[in-house]
Amino acid sequence: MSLRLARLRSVAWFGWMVEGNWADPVLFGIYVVARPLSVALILALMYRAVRGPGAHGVAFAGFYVANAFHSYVDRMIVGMGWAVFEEREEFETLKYVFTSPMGLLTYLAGRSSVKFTLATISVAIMLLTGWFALGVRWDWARVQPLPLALSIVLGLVATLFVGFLLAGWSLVLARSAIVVLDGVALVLFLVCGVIFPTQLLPWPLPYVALALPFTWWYEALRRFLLGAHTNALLAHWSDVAVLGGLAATTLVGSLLSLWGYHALERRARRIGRLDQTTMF
Amino acid sequence: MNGWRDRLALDLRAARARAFVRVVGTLREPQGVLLDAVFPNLGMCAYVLLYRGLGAPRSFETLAVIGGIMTTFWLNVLWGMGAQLFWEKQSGQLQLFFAAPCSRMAILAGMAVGGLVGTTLRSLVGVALGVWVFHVRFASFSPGVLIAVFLATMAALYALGMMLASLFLLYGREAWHTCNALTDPVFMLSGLYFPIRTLGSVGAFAAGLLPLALGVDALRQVLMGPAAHGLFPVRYELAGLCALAVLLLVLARLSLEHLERLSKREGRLTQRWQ
Amino acid sequence: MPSPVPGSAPAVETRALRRVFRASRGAGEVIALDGVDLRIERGEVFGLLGPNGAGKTTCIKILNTLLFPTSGEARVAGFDVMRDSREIRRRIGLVSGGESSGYGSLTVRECLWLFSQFYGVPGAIAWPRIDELIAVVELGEQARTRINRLSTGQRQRMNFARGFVSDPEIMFLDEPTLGMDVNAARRLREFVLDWVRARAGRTVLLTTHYMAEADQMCDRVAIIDRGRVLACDTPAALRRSVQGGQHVELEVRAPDGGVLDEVEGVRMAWGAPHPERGTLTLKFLLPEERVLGDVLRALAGRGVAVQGVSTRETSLEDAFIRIVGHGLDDEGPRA
Repeated sequence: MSLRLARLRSVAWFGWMVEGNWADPVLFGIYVVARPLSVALILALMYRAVRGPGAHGVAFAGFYVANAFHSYVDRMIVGMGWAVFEEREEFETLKYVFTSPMGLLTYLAGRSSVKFTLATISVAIMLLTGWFALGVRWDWARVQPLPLALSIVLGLVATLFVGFLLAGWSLVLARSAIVVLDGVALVLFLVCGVIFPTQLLPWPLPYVALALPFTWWYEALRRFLLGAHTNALLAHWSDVAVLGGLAATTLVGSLLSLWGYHALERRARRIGRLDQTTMF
Repeated sequence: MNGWRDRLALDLRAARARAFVRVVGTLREPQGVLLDAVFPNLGMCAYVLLYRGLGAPRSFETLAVIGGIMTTFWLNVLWGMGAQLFWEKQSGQLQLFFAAPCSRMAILAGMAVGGLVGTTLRSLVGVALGVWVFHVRFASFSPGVLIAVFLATMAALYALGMMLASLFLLYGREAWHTCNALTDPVFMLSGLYFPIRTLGSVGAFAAGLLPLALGVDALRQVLMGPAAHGLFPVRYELAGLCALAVLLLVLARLSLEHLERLSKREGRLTQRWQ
Repeated sequence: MPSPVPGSAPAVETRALRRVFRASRGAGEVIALDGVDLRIERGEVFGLLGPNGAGKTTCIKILNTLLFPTSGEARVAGFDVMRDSREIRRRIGLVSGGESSGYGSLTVRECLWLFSQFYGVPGAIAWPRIDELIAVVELGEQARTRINRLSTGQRQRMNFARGFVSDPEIMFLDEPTLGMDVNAARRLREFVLDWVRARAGRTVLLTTHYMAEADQMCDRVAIIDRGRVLACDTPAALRRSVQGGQHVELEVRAPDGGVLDEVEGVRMAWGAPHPERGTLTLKFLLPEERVLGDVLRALAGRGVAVQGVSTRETSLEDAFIRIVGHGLDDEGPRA
């Protein structure tokens, strides 16, 4: 166990060097702050354009909060896919990582820790901006801390494992990974009810969305933080049922993701993708 | 080689050749084209559905569709132009460009033209989505004005891309991440998914500086009329875009020359890891 | 320096050429070139030989107008590298060995055409030339294959062809056969020599790691190390400058190669062990006035059994080692 932790730590350090060594701290800080702030403001300005200035109510707060937590999906899931792509195409060291005793999964877990940290900073910035500047507030008396904490943990577990799946997909993809990775984040953004109720999606997408843990995650966050319901399909589900749905989809999703990762890894080995560069 | 005619012929050949690479790359990778065309429009779909969820007037959906289409062009400017010389350096081809007798601006111009052709094809997917899936409606418009505004916007955008190409090379990975970091702020400041008026005086200032903001606003006004909640009259925005195109082309040339001088002094031009 | 007279100026001329790199973050500076004087006449195949980090590629980059010198002068075809870049670029070609770059979605022919256009070669001239070059590098079957489907070696050969597509006056070959198989490398060397001889005034500046390549191809060779030219002459003259005996290799069964230090007149003694056979290879230069028999008798007197004997003439590598003080891949003298 200590050896695995040591490896995780060394990979996390490496991940920090990769993520953070390209600029001085001020510029890096801007990088960490500017993006989430802009995403938050786009949402707020869209609401303002339609409803005018002033507080926008619980619905806005619900989508705002989900949009903030979607940073984890963006950074971690897409980020792990990018880590594989970067290793193979830019650093050309994927084959060395892969054939080392540490293995690729441990490596990815270590790299994801840095992405988790950066995503957490983004989430915090967005929530603080929402609280102080955009009227996104909640009644602390109505917050359910234990279910909230549990739902956050479950959501992050789902994010980590789906990240493994995307990393596995990256092993197999050639240069189209550049587009596919960002595309997956957009698909999840569209389908999981981040900024609008899923019932607006064309049939059968609202039901497809229920198979994804992130749909349950965002609903759970809204319920346990804001006391809000936005998903009409889940309106009649109790809080415990929603938490149960999140847990179930996380479990199934994680197992499927792990299975999918291994299957894709085997395929990558069969087609000889692990030590190719495909950026021509 | 005698005089400006020969130099012009050489530069036109180089531009044509470089544009050829872009166009061929687009046509020969159909799955890449599909992915490039479909995925960016998913964000547009999300914002259209957000407006629908808010019960906003249908004109807001049209506004979001136009913004989404322009996103395709902006991303091509940023990554297909701005980052391209950086990629050439990474792949070891940059030194070949700089050792060639043709003008570097000609090569960049070829990249711009090729990129514009490829991206225009991809943007048709966004148009198709908007018209056939979301049933957005346009006001009656003059095709001539639309083409003029579109071309002026593209000229300004791709001139900006040519300038960014030098900056990327100059600052290496910092510029890469900086542009990555600026993607969303530019989306926000350009009012891609909402009327830029919503930004107030900030919006007006941004529109003056960002060709994307001016271009999006002008295109919306041409296609939607008053429902676009435009910032400035179209003729002023068209003039602004033309002025920006000229200014940015000049800046692109100056920054490219500066870059080349600096790189030759510091020896960074062909250092892959710089 | 006087203004160039077209066609009469040397192909390359440098005077006190110096290039200093300042490392980032206060890590000091690196002197890549330290006062290099070169003069390469038209029609020559000129070699620049040196170990890694000697300054060969830096020199080529300056001459290709990719890099400014820190001080000194450099002229290509009579034009100054600082002021007349455009004139120089019209007249030169560049091949960097080991390069496997290219636009993956283009075919081999299209990629070569692309670069021909950067040099303003009209299509009527470019396409036949491209087909000839494709035949030279033996990519005829892959001519219409996309680059992303070529092997690394095939891409390297394509890049070699790319350098000649503009038919330059002066060709810079920076380790052109690096990583190529033996047959391919030999064919390319033959092509280069034929190319130079086919038209008066064509010049090649070749940097290489391979002694045999320099020996075979070059009219003259400059040996460079740590940014300085240590010697410049024909390969034969360089060999003669260090000749002074016969090179001998003995394979002996002995625990200590140092026994040869005691033999009078022996100038070098090298030992490479062969543990699988339990023997040692000893290389030394036997002076002309000495006799091999003396050495063999001295060894026999010490109970050393000689398993094999071979002799050879002084090679360019020997000259290099003598001049530089170490081998091409060594950092310093071998004990």
